[in-house]
Amino acid sequence: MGPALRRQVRTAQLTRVDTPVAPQIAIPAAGSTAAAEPYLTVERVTKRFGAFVALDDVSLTVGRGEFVCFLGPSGCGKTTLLRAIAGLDPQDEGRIVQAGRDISALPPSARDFGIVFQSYALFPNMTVSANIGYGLVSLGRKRNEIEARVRELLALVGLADQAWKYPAQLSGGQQQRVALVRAIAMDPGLLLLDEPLSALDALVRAHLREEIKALQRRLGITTIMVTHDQEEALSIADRVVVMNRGRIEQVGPPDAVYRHPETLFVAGFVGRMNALPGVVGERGTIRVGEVRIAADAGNHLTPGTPVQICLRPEDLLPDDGTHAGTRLTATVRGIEYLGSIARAALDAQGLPLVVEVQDTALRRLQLRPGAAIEVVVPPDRVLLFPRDA
Amino acid sequence: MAVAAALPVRRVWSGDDRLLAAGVVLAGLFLAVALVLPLGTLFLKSFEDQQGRFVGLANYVRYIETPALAGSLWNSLWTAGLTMVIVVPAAFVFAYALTRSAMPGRGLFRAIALIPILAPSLLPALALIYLFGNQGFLRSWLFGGTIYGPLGIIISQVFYTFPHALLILATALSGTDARLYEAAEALRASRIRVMRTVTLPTARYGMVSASFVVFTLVITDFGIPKVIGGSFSVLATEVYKQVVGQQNFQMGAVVGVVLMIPAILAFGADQWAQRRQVAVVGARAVPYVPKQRPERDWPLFAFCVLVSALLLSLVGIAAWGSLITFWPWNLSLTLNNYAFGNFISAGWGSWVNSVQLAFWTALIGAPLVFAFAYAMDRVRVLGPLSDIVRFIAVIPLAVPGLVLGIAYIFFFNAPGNPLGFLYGTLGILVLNSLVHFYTVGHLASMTQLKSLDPEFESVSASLKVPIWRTFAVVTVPMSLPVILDVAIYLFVNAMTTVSAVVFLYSPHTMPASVAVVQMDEAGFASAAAAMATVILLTSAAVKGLHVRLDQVLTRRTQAWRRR
Repeated sequence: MGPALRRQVRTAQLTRVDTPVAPQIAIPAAGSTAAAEPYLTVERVTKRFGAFVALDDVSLTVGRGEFVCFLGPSGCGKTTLLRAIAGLDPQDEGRIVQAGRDISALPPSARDFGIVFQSYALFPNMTVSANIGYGLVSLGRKRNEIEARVRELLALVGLADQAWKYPAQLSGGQQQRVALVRAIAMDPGLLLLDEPLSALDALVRAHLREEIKALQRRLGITTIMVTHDQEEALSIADRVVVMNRGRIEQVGPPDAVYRHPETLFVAGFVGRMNALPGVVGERGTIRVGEVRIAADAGNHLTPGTPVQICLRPEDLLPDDGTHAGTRLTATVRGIEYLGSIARAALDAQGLPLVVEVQDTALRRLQLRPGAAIEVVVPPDRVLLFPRDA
Repeated sequence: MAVAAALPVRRVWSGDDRLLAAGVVLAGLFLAVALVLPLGTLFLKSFEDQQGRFVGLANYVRYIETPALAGSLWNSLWTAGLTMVIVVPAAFVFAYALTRSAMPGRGLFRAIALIPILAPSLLPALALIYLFGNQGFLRSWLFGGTIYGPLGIIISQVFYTFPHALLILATALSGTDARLYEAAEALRASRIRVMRTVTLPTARYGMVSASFVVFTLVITDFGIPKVIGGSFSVLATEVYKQVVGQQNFQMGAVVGVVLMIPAILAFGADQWAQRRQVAVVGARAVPYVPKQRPERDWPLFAFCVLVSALLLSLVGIAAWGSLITFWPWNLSLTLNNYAFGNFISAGWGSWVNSVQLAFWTALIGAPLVFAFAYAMDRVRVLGPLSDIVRFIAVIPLAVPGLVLGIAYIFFFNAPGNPLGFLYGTLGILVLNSLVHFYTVGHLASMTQLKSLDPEFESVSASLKVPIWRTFAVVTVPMSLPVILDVAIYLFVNAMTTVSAVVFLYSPHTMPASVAVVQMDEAGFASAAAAMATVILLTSAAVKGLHVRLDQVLTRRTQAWRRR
């Protein structure tokens, strides 16, 4: 069985597991969820570096005005895909079409995009103004025209008073904003952001995230951002493209990707997950060790099929008598306190599970290591993935 | 989505791609004409007889069978080895004192130790002859021995190679992480243990590198054995004797090829060591700031005073000797030895030639080397061709000047070579010096370019700005200090070199460094010392100008570096 075929088979199984909720997010139908007309189409793109396959037959459609995030671990191909779209490292095979124009073979200078790098790549020997006006000057625009445009752009990101400083005299967040407006100074059709926030500290990052999203909405510019930070991707994107090992694992809106991961990889990479090996039993139950867990997704599966059973930590509910589902008695092994929430490591009848509870619930339940607790597993929240026996 | 088969992409070249590709091709052509073809000609010549017929290895067999020739190889090897064994430990202690101690006067010591770089290699040899030569007033110290021969060669070579070893070792020792020492201290390691487990390992590859550089410098140096070698024959003087003395070009080619073997081996080992060196020093290292420790600092200070005194006294004696009326009988001071017209027909003209040679080498060389390095580093097309050109750019480091000089005779003097018009002009001297010293400038430029954000060009392309504009307004202004460094390096080396140009000058283009050799040979030792002193002063003046210019430049154009 060839790799392509194997992938198809797996996708089919997954659809069966997860069908009731989100049938529309299967990979081949990715383009259909884009509300707007397609602006950028990536067709069967492959890129190799020597023997290493960085992009393996990747296809994707981005709608006009959409904000898409490429999310994945390092080395998954997300930056390679972005650089192929920019023409900086062109693909070996496949086609990229932007606004109806096949740009596959074009050099970056003949394409239509603005880009922000992780390093910002601001010209250190030029002032903020000169950096932003760099492209406009070589277009041969009039001087006062350029100055007006630069002023307008600086005002857009609240840096009007920093125009004559050099990049080294700005804070990281300010540099990032300058790089951003330099990228949009020429009104490109496509904005590419390569890990633009990862060099900043957490507070600035969260703030700039909102700012970028607001700016993108206001300008309506089609935007692709590469990130390895799932929280960043979920908070900012209209659609998230989860990548792994040079392939697209799943494309969909943030909530769909989080709630209904299509592959075990997505389930494990986006958010936290309890993942345990199990076997399908009678009447939609799953046997995990000595325990049987009821799962809606198991209804259509043949008994005896090996599966990986996945449970979000926040879906395991401390029993207060109101929830329906499988009840497990457990002992608290340890507690990781994070402020508004806490994670408790449990031994639930031999199963190692992590459960996430609000701080208020933590106080009410008096959880501490050694304490006994009963948790409920709601059958509709159980995710199942195929597993090799 | 109906998708056709994935088609391979044939990339369209942009104007930027064409420009960079043209730069790489031009660099390749330049290096081919100025380096590869001459060396190839030399190589082929070593398999031919006087009439140009192919004779296989006959010349090599004759080389091995001639005891005088084979002996010179052995002489070269052991003098180089002994010099290496003396210089590297001494330079290590000196470098350690400069970088790892809190002794006073470190800046001054460094400046003094680097003086020999500014002088022609034969300056210390001339000074030794003043002291210990046939007329030397310290001759009795040798107990009947003679300074003409291995003794003089090794002492002079130690002096000449010391700053080269020092620079490498000081760099290796300064590139250490202070946190390693803090960690060692926190783990209560003894000082000896810290030295053995932290200091030496970080400097290990620097020491390998320094050893090979010293070895190669000695093997390939011509000036010192020429002046003070007496009848002690080494490879470098043997080549000269065969080619200039006996007009035996075939044997000259053979010795040239033989001379390349140790140089290439040393070069390969050095490249290996340097790659390792990079891996040792992390980008986030915290610089080491030495604390005062008298029991360490004062012995090191004493050592540095001793070494500096020796270096200064050799330079001083050469300079003083050049002002003496008639050594050693009439010690009254005079400037007569500086009236070079009395000793050699070119007179001060040879100094003018040298300044012109150095000036043009620097003025043409520095921009050319940097622009070529830029094209080689940033080109995205051409594939393996650019790798080949990048490799060729490093070869000159392994080619001894003498070999390059003979190769130039064979290549440019060949009938039918359209570039033959260069032969005997200042142009061929400039070309030769440029290629001879190409690699250091190339590597410095590459290091600088690697330190710039590789995405500057990507951003420019996305802003539709042609690459030459970004090169002109971003890359060059940011790299100006490095380009200036390269220019000064080329100037000083072109000013002081003897080995390559000694085969290529014509009577009206004779450089000052060759004039030193000629006057010494003709018995005008004081005039030779005078000319060597003039060369040293010229280099020092240019170096001083450089330091000043660098300050002005930093203030004027590098305002953006300030926070």
